[in-house]
Amino acid sequence: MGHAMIEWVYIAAVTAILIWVGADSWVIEKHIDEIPEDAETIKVTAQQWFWTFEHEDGKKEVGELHLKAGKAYRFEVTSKDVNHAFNVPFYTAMIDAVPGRINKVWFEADQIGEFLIQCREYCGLLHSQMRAKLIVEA
Amino acid sequence: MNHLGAGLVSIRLLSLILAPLFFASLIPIIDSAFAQEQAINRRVEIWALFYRLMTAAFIVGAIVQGVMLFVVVRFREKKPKQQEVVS
Repeated sequence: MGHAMIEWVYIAAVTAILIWVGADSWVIEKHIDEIPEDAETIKVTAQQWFWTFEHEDGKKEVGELHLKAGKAYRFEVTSKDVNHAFNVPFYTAMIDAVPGRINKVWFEADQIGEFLIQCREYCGLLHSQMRAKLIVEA
Repeated sequence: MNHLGAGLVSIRLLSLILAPLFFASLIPIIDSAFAQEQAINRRVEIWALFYRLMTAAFIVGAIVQGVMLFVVVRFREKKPKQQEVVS
């Protein structure tokens, strides 16, 4: 064993772990970025300080969103005034809502119940109250 | 051997350690390339990735701490004079 072998083993081990971390993250990111083709589109509009949701059939909801369990949904998110961020913590979904842009995020609601939708970008005085209710039904 | 001890033997050993680990890291990429398209549970995948990355981070931390301790102890043992307190 060379004089500095331990340092070389350390470099090798750390490098290998970091390569694995990078590869693993890249694969998962690639998977979760792919929106299923059969996903239903919901237009999400943020404005100070509430959320509006529009379903494919034109039905609109304010402050509440009803989804079906076991179905994939694509959210097209935009804002009418300042920057916001659409966040559903339970389903690990978050995307910025930016005026003049449509950002997309998706998830499949697999559990029935009521979940929190919140703004995750400071957007003014009532930012902390800018919440909505996600209701997942069977 | 140079002063870093990075002679040919070291580089060969390094390659021997790195190569299988590098190829092991490619397994998920190759696996996904041949996998059939199927819906994924985003929530489960993200949390699973988070726990794997946390494990990796703690392992890297342990290796770095361990090597630092090893190097310091080895240095002190080889140079007893360095252990004297200068007043």
